[in-house]
Amino acid sequence: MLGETIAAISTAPGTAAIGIVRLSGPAAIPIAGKMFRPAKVGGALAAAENRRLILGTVRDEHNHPLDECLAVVMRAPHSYTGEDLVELHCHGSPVVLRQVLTLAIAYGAKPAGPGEFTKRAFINGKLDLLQVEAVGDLLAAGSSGAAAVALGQLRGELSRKIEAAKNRLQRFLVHLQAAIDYPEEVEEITPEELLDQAKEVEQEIRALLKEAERGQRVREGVSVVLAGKPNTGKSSLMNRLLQSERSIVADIPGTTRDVVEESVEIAGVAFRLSDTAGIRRSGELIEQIGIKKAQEAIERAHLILAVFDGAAPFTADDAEVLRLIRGKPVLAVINKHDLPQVLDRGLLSPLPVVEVSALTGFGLEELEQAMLRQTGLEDVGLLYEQSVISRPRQKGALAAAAMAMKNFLQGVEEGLTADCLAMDLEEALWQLGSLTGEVHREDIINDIFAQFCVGK
Amino acid sequence: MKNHINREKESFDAIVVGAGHAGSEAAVALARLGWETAVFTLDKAAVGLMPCNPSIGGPGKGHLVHEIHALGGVMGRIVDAAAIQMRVLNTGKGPAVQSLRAQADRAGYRRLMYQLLQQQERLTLIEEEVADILMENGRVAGVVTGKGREIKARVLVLTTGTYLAARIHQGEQQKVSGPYGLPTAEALGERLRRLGLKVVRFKTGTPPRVLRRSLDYAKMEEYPGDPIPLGFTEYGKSGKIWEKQEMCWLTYTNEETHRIIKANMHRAALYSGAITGPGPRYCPSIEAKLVLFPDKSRHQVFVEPEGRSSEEMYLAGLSTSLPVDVQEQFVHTIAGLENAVITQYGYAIEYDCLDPLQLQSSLQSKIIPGLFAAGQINGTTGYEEAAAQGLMAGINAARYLQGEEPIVLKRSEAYIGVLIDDLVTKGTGEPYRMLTSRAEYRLLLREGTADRRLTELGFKIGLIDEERYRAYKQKVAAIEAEKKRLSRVFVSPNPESDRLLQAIGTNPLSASTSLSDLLRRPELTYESLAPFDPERPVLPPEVVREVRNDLLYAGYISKQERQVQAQKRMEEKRIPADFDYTAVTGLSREATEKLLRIRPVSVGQAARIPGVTPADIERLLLYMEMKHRLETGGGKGQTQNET
Repeated sequence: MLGETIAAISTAPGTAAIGIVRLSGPAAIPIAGKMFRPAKVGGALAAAENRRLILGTVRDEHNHPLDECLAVVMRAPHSYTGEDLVELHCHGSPVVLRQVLTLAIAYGAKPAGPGEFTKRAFINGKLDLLQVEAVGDLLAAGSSGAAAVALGQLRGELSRKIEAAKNRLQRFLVHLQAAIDYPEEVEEITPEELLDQAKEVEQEIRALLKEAERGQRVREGVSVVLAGKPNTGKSSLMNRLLQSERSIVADIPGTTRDVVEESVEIAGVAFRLSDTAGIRRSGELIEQIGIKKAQEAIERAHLILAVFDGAAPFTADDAEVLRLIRGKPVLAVINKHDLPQVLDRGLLSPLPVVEVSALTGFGLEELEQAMLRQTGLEDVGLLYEQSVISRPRQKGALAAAAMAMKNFLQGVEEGLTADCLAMDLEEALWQLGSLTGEVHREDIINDIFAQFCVGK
Repeated sequence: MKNHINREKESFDAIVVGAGHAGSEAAVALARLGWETAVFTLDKAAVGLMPCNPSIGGPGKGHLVHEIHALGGVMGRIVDAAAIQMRVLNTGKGPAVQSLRAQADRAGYRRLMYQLLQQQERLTLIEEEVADILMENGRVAGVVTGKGREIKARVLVLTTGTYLAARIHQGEQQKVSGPYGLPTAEALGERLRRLGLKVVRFKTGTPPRVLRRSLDYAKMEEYPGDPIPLGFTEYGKSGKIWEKQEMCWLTYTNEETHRIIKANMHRAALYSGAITGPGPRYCPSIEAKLVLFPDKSRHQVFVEPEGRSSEEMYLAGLSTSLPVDVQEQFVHTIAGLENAVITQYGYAIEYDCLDPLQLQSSLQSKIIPGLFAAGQINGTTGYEEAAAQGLMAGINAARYLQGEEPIVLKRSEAYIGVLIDDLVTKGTGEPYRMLTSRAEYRLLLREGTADRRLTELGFKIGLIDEERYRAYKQKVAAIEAEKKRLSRVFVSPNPESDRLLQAIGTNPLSASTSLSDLLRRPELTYESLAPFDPERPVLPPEVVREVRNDLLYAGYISKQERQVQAQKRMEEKRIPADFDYTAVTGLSREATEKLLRIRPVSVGQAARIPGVTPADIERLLLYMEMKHRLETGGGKGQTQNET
């Protein structure tokens, strides 16, 4: 219930320098007041200035000190949750924090459920839906880029862009509908007259959608599969990228029989690297299983690094690799640049090629740039500054809006009537509205009467 | 039974207060469904009166008339018989928004409606004021007339139009009067307040009428009817009624008109403070148009005959609350009206009505069992809106008497459903007019599909007789059979068909194609495909039209049907009548207040209440889900770490 005061340990579990116990709700200040004794006379929490740190001690019911700590009070509505909120910055010992929380509960606070602080912020109108999702993403961000994208959404930049497209669509719809409801009074606007402007809006939505695909990659990470015949140095290359020794490395062909997955951050983007078993046309059952797994991984990947041995001639196994990756997003990596080169590079055409040495680290930087380029993230730095859509729900709504606009434009070309075209516009408008704030039917009607002099 | 026999009768099953468009529909429906019904009117001249524009139909409104007829109501039949001009509007904008509009003979319409009420079995027309409502055990028990007679009935339908405490304004002048100088009902509004109902004051207006022979028609544009006039009913479509159509005319206000109005703006009742009630944006007065759109240099004035043999013309577009001397001045500045003789001045009228949020979807009061309300008393404007509600109130009053569940049309079923759902869910801050923009499922709610949507239901209710039902069944069968046949006739690509297709303005074929697929091309009509279809049967034009519309818009129609399905889940999620919204965590105060007041029957309806946000609905659903889990013994543990 919203009337209750909730409390929780708000820092991650485990030992750390600082741990925070947070209380939110109407009784947050009185409850914290009972727990906390200020170091200075007159420093009572009830009288504390907003957002000012106060030094003191947390003491239990028997006046035994539990911890020395800093307290800060944020009064409604100027807090994260929009309610009275107190944070007790304690020492980060799990035992101490647990005791402090137990004390808060003993004084009447309820343990907070998962996400309850954010839920309250949403309920109290401190965050809109896009922003709530952004908070979740920010907390769960697996890379610095994902965090930047979430932060951009939280700042509401994306909402402003969508709002602009929405407003234009609303104007079109209002004009069409005004002419439908008042055919004798409103000068007819033919859909053709809207065509150029509607095309612009469609392109704007498509641009947002394209950004969204990149945003989703940044949020969720890019999956990369290393594929190649045995012994081309896939595992060494992966380790070089990871700068660790996670994969098993040996000279016996077929050592990596399973798929090994590790993450590496390049320019703020999480790349999930999967090392696969070497591909070759052999009969061994165990290898067949590994190859099957490699094939599955290839199907799902955003990018395939096809690794070839630059110091060995092209073989039937290499050809098999090329066959498996045909039509997929591929970057060819020629390894072993430190040895004399014999591979016929013409056979890899037209794949983009990068030459590296997993042993010396030669070409690694170029490889990373190429990986960004091949996944459409070369200017990912710009992306962080813009703020983009990154969730499947959000992307779905954008895609539906783009589809509705496409239907609209196509309908105009085919000579469809205004009743149907208005439906497509409505669809696009409602979809955009589901991202930043609903458009109501009454809004359209109000606009009709605000913009047109109608009614006999 | 004739009404003179029943004049002294003191007990009926049902009483309808008012015999305008809502009252007539309600009374006829009740009587036809088997209930002894009394319908009260202040004056016989008010029966079936069109006190404002002499026309019926147009976008949204024409849809309503088609639906009323499809359900078994009377408006469509009467207007077809009284029509003097017919015009289909929006012909170029697609079948969903195409709509029929009739100019009607005001006197003829009244006469026909009066006859219908007189001739209807079980119906008694009483010319007397209703001054009080009798209650027994918190339920409606009858009425007391202005003469102090007590008349008993178990159900009461209020269709008081603009007559409750009506005041007419013409500039500084104000008088106690209903439309056309008819009497007002002074006592009933007060009684409604005492019963605990919220009564509000609304305003509307009407333009001056002028003598037909005093106008200069050479200075105005002709505004004719359609070459082949259609009708709202089978009767009208058969073309029997047409000897000739009357002409309407179009002229414009000008800068001189505007100068005079602006100079006298302070004398308009609307702006002098004399009128307090809100007026409809849907038919603004000429002075309001000048205030709201100061940049427009002229406004349209449609000059419409009041009837075939009427000596008066109606000046649509010049509704006004200005004093009569100003009306005399500005009317004569308009081209064609220089020497016009004004026969009746325009006026604004204020009246009492009920806040429709006090009604259930059946149009029955939420607090007084047996009390129904329909028409302008529910805050609407327009004859069609009134008639649609009157019909539904009549049907549901009859079902109340019978102890049956009310009929509530869905938004996906009828404009009538949209109208009533809007009224009881959103309320209205001004007189409410139907617009196609209000309906989300426009492709389904075409005028042409009204019978397929509602006639089956009308038959079940008992307002469609066997003969009409059979004719309806035949029409539906003909549409389906023709669609099936067209899907089986193929055109194959060959030089001959290429040439024919190009001749009718479409691309040649790449593969063998059925006629039904060809009809999905917007540039082709049913008629244009005749050369490919030698065995085509002879079909009525409305069957051909619906076949083509069904096929051409199949994609959009099925998309709307999917939307209806998606929405259905929310519509079917019922909220109990005693649901405690204050217990729902995190509902905004505005949402809680509105939900408590409106008490929506479903989550779908709750979501349409203005001020209830999608976030509120999420919370409501969450709470209902949690409550359900707790009651069924589920539940989740709480964790102490925030995530």
